[in-house]
Amino acid sequence: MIEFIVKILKVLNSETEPGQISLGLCFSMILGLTPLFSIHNILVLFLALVLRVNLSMFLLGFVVFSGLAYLLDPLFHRLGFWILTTGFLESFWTGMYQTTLFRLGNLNHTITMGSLLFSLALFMPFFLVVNYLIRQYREHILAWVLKLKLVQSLRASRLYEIFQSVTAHGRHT
Amino acid sequence: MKKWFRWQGLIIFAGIMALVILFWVVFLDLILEKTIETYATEANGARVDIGNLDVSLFPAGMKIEDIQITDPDSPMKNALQVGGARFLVNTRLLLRSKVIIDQMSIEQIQLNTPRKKSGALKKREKKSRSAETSNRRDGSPAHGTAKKETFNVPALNTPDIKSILAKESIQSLALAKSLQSDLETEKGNWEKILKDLPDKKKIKAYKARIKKIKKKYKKKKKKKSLTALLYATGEYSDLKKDIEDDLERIEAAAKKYKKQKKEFKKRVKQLAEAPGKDIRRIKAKYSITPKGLSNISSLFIGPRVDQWFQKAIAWYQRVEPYLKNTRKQEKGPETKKPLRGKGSLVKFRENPPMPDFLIRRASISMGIESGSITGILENITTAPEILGKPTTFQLAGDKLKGIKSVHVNGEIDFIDPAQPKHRIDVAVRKYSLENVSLSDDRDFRVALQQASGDIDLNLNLNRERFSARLGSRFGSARFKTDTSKKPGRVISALATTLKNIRKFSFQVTAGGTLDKYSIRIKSDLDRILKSAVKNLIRQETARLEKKLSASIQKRVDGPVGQVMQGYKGYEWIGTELTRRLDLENKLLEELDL
Repeated sequence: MIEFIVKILKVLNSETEPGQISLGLCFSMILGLTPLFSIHNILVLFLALVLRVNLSMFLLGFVVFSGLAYLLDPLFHRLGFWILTTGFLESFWTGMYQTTLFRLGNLNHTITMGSLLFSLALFMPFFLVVNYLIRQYREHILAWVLKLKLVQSLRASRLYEIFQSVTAHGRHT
Repeated sequence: MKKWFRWQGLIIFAGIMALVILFWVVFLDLILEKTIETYATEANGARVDIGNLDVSLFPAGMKIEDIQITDPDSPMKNALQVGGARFLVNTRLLLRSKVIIDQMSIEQIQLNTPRKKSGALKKREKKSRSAETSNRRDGSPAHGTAKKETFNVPALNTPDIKSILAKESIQSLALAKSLQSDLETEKGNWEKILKDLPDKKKIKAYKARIKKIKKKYKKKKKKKSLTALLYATGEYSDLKKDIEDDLERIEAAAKKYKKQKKEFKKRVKQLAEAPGKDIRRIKAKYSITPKGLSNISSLFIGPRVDQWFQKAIAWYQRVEPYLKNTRKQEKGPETKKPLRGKGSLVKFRENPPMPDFLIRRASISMGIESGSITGILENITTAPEILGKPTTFQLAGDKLKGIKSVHVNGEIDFIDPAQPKHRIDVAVRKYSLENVSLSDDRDFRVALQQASGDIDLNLNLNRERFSARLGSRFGSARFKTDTSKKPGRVISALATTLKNIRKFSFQVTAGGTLDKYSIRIKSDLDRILKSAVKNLIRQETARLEKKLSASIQKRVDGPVGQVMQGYKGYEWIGTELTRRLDLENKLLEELDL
């Protein structure tokens, strides 16, 4: 729990750009909400590793969104079913169904399609919102948090020294 | 650009991908093996074990060794055991979740092989035990378990005459007793009537009166007729009236007697015929009829044939769900629930349409007791309505041990699932039979020691109704019979005839629905056995008739003789009535003189 808080604080207090943190979270949303072993997640993983996104948030976000996915699966199923069976898109999907990529990606599966569409639709708004929240936190809340006795005692602890040394080491690389 | 791009990430990604690929390469065989075993076990209802599975990626294919498919009804036996199967899969279509195999070879197929350990699933063990019990209770077979038939030899030994007569009632005795009693009663009644009717005494009295009247008027010399004289006096008329009254009474009695005598005569005639009827009735009940031998072939072969049909139907019902598409055809995209997990798979129209699973051609080799059979199966699929072609198979075996050749070909057509049409043709040449038990009856055991012949079978199934025709001709036949210590003459004759039979044929026709069907068996054995014992049966029947006739006659002669005597006594009454009538008439004539 302490590590979790430390990581969050580290991320929030690090010099990592808010955009990098937000992008990490957005990629983790796609990875977490959609079925894990889907073809599109190879692309997501690739982008998360190759682009300078915050990997900690990416992993943490994946855990959180995976948990959320179980609760949202019925919604994804309904969304996927509607989009795949709606009349005016039938010829489009029929055309897509003839392609190997569509079949390999299992995009005719209601939950896969529903969750992918959901996460893609939310990608940009989520990115902007998280970005804004991080900036606001750093501007207005960070100073207040640093004044808290709990935080001060944590900063005085051996644990924090180690944390600082890691952070410092990370900053240099 | 450098700010957003992480070169190390590329290396990490490549590393992760390499690990994943390595994992699949190393564990794919095991994962697939376990997955196939799991799904196949679930579908079969009993364990399906795979000895070894090798997957090749380029080209995509598989080699499977030692497949054992447990018979759910006999968990210690494999319904099917396959030595090895090899096939390549169309990679392009595999990426579209379609398993399309152009060529497959399946080797060393064996049926009914023993297993080292039970292949029953825990839940299935209880279910099959209770199913067996319930089937035994109502007697209806299921999944290949057949009712064991017992061979009942037609009643070929005639029972003892004494025991027959002890059991059967002789109606002529009852008739005689009843007739005797009635005759005695009526005789008594008539004796009373005769006492009242004018007898000799009265006739004598009448004659005395006539004489008296004649004497009275003798003195007168006028030769006038007595009648006139008497008439004149009135005594004549009284006398005449008396005589006429008596005559009337006698005539009335005679009329009544005549009517009664007619009845008795009829009954006496019936009594005379009754012993003959008794003999015929009892003879018909106890004599040996060739009818009992008219379908002996069905007793020999019927139970076995019924078992084959039940097993074939059970296997067909087991395999049928996998060979046809049971989903209803929907307009537009079709949704299909995946085997596991949530959500649904939406299937759109394909161009060209392609089933999810298809083996275009499979070459098989099958080991049976006599040798091996090879064959070709084509178009094996779970969606024949999409493929538009039926599944066909051709199997052939030559120079097998005990069989010169066997050819099987047919097709399974589920293109229209609502109207399945299937056909199987089997031709077996020079099939050798050895030591086949045909009857276990302790009085008449029959076994076919050896025979060699041809069998042709044609089976058609159209919707739920099937028809089958099996014809066979066997030569070089030797039957072995074993009878009880004292067999009857007819059983001995049957046994001798069977021993001399060198060739025979039988035809089986069956038809009906899979749940309710009938089997008819015809064979020249019926005709041969019938004609062999026909004369013997005739002699035996004549002997029975003679003995029966003698015994019955002996029993009824006494009572019938008594009745005849009694009837003679009754006839005397008629004679007496006639005599009295004549006497009265003569008196009247005397009066007229």
